[in-house]
Amino acid sequence: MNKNKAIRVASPLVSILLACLTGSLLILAIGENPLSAFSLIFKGAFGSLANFATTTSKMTTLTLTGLSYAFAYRCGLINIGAEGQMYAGALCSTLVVLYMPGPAALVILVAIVAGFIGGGLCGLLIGVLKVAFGANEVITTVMLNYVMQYLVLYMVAGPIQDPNSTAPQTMMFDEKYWLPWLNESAKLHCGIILMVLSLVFYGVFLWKMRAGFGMRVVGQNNAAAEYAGLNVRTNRLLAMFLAGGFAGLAGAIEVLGVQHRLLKGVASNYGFDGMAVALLGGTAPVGMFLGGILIGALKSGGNSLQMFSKIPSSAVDLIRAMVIIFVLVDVVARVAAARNEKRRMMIHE
Amino acid sequence: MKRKVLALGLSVLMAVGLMAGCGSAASSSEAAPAESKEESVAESVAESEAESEAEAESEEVDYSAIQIGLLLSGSANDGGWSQLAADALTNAAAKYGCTTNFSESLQPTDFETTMRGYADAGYQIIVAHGAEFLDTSKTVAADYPDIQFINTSSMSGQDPNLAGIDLGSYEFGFLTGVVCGLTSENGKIGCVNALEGDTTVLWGEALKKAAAMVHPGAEVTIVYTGSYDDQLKAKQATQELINQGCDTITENCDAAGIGAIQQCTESGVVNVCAVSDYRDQGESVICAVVQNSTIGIEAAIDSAIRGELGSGAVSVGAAEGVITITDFGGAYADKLTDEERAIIADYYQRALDKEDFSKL
Repeated sequence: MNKNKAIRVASPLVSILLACLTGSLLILAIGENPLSAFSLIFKGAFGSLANFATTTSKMTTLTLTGLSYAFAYRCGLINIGAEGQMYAGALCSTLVVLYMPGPAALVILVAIVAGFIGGGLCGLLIGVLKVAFGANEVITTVMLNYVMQYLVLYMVAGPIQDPNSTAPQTMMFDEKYWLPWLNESAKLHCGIILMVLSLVFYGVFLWKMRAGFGMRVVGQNNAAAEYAGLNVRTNRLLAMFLAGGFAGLAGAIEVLGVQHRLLKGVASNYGFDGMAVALLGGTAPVGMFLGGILIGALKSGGNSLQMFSKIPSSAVDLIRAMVIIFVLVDVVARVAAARNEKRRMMIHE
Repeated sequence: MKRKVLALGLSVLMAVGLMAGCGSAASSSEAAPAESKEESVAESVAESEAESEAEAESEEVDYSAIQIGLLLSGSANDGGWSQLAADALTNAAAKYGCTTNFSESLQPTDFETTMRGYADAGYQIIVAHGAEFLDTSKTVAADYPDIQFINTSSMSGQDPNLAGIDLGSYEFGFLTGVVCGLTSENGKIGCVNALEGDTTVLWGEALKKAAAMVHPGAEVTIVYTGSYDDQLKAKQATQELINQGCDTITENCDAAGIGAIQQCTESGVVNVCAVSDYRDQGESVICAVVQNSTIGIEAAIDSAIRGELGSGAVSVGAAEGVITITDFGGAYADKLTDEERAIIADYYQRALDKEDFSKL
């Protein structure tokens, strides 16, 4: 392993360690024992088959939204819109389940594809605004998050609300439309398979296919890419469609495999937490898989922490936030170091 | 290096800032009268308190093995709705020496996982605080027939182990309506609600009825924002109601109601605070009609610990101390004459006497 690679692998680990240390200080400040707290988080995440299934479920969604961020990032775009794209995917999947006749297996399949396309179109819209009008994708994705969130709220509190419930949610899907279980008693659904396949696709597409290579070149230097004859606009549109598609797939899996209905707040910050997964994993497939496990464990273990201790769940949120901050600090430091090195070399020359 | 140290320092500062921002506020409302099957928790508590005291004298009962879990969608230190439930849990722990824990600020996507988490961990009593938990409570309770589930905003329970607590919604809405009707000059009253649940709908019906009784021709416009914690939304909804000519606003949306109060203060419109006592949030508040869920939840927990709760809906109200009206104050205290205040006092006394306002 060369030095650069070693640094790339070690830096997220150092970030996690620093976040845990700072989190420990916070837990101490609250008057609790950090070791007990982390033990509770671990047990809550992996202490039983049911807990493991919950962690896996959260990790699946998080990795897919991380993938959404990563796809755009590799093409030089910043996709903050995974949250909205996830809402779009969840809504499209739900509409298919509620209104499409036919065999259950076909309905599930179409619902998954609809989720992907729904999220993809949401991402594509951002791409179009970017290439046609030069609209900043950070702003448009954030704005679209609100649009999709309120569209879903309108739908679940109105046209598709469960008539037997006062809560803003649809009726529970018929069991035959749920994603198949890998382990029913633990509530472990097969969404993780879709997530792994998505990661494989991501890796193969970007590093083994010509189209993916073009996308990465655009991401690294779009002027050079254009000079080399690559179509920057097409690559950006494709990247945003795929980015949105994977967030949409996360939404589809959440409604088909976890909630079994569409409800207000179904995205539940997964879109933003997915960014942490992508950053932690360095937008590499294996890295994001591991990042997904970590953030998923913090999410499910955090619930246990506040359930069985006097530590507020916000403490875990803080640890999670600090992981992101430390990762970002590291990225900023590395970029600054690279620039300094470049400047130093230029002066030297 | 200096840059890194600076960045780390900033990170810690941000973390501390985030932590400081963790506290917030919330409140809300609940259930009402109902069918004959309903039982008054307070009555049953009063009856069996004597029995249990006598029992306690003869043999000390050890409740330390009992575990109670509480689910909150708001923050446990919101100074309102969620905190009142957390207080009930604290009181139960002190009274019985049992183990209690709560989960706060839960997202809808985590309701079921959390509820099952308590059940799987062997908690014998699980309290879900709010209408938003009702569907989940019904689903999970069916899978754990030996655990007592309590939902605080339900007009009904579910056999054999889900009890709904009616925190005097109708009475609460009626008294709020009396104050609003007497306060309003043009008879246009606006109300900001969160969700259209059975208890909030009942509350709204009672509000409309009472307002029209004390102020003939009064109209009540109710807006549902869909959120118990989005103060900005409540504020915008309030502005809309004021634009439509409402001169008196009330709200039933937990901590989000603070936004409504702020808008009333900014627009110079009277606010009749409902559920929590948020008089300190703005001078527009003329008084608060408080719904103290602590008492209701404590009563239900008492009953559950004795193994007497089971299913169905239980009812508490002003007579049990759940509904109270605060003193009048704020910038618009003089809008109510002594005569009008006497009318409010009279209705409150009738509530204390357990008069059924739905039959008026």
